[in-house]
Amino acid sequence: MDELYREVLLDHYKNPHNKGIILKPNIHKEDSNPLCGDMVEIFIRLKGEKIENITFEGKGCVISQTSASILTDELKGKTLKDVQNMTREDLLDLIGLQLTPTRVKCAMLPLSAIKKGIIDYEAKK
Amino acid sequence: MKVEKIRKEFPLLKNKIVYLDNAATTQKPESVIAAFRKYYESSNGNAHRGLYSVSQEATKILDESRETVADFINAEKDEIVFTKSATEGFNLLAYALESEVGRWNHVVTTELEHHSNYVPWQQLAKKTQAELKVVKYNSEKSELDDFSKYVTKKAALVAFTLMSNVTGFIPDAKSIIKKIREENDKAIIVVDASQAIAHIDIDVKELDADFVVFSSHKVYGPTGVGVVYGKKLLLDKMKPFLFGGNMIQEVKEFESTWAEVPDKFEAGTLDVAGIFAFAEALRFLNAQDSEELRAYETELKEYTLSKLKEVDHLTVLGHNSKNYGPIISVLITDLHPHDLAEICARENVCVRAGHHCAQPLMKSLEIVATTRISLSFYNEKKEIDKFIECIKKARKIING
Repeated sequence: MDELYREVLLDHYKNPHNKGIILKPNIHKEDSNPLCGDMVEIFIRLKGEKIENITFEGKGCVISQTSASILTDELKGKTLKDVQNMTREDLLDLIGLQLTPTRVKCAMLPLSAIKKGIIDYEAKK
Repeated sequence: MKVEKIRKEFPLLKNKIVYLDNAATTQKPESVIAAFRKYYESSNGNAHRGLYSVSQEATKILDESRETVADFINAEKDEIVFTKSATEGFNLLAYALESEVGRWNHVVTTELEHHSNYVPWQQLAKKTQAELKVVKYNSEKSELDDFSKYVTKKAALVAFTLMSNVTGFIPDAKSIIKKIREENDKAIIVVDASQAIAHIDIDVKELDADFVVFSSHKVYGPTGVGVVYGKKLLLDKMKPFLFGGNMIQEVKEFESTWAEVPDKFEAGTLDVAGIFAFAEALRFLNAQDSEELRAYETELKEYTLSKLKEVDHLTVLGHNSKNYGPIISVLITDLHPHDLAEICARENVCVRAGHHCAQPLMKSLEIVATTRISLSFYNEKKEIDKFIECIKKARKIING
């Protein structure tokens, strides 16, 4: 019935991909959307400049958690630069949704957490 | 009460919308909307400025509107200061009362507050190096802790709400204020009437707070108009908040003196059209039988609570006594508030999801968000039923 809550999304929500933690990750960042209380925690293990493994922990609405599930699938094998170049539009295309501005924030939460984590990582280097 | 009749006065409600977010903003009756046209068509001049007729007319309208607002809360006309919002009102007070707070003092607020009645005091305490005391919310009893534990002789200022925008809880303000006065007759008492103004009668003389802050748009008036009621002696003593036009008595090269209250606090051109429309909203309310409206809102609230009881895995925050207004927050274990609100939105049911600008309360309750419905006398029982259906629908969509 509902584009926003169509099967594929709900499948990600109920059975999220890449959920869990990575011990001793190269990049670790927690971020939240205080407006609705969505939270994600990102773990990345690198091999050179490439993302070897990426996982997340989190709780929140369908959109934020599904976005984390789909995004972490997508980013495996990508370089940090690829991630930094990823735009809001890229992400929304990836999830395949038309969202209202409030819900765009939910969808963007995992990507913004990853980007912030990369900034912290680069600063430490 | 004849709900159908009163609904007809609100043009937006004709759009088949189920509007259950009245704590965020209320819908406007036709007379309020018409007031803008009336003002701009016949009375638009800059108040206090010109000698010509429309400026005189604008001045008169401002003056009369101020009186209507004052009468609504049993205040005097020169105790009413117009701002752009309740938030600006609190900020005005936090700024203008700075000299009343020293680093040996306490500034007291509560966990139940909207950010607008919390952050200005938190920042005032920081700036003056005073200690911020936060009255705890007891979630088991669903009430505020005893103020006497927090208010001592050191308290310079105490701020609290007359009705929580999250749970609808109504603290016993009169007795709280009496107790504060007994302990410390110098403490300045500020109350937030933003929610209460639409649901309970407020008589500032009986209440005895020093300042009462609220906004027009939560009581059927337009956005862009806020009100600070203040006791005249205090308003006279306070420094101005904004400098510029209208608030001046005399400007010399290196010195200026200020106009009388309320002008002293109303720098710049006011939203006279909005203030006029706000007075129109109050006239609309004055023309109703307020007891009947209140009784109907209570009936609606009770109906909602009884319907919510039938829903599985649902918890209502508070509402374990009669001391609650028609604002109800719920937690549903298997539905995130944002998902529920989104699915409601698709059915044209407007409810609110989030922390409701009350993060200290959310932290205290160890939750991140709730789904809130807030009622008005124009709501109908069948609208509540529709919301309940939405919960079931959302559960089906999300949890299968």
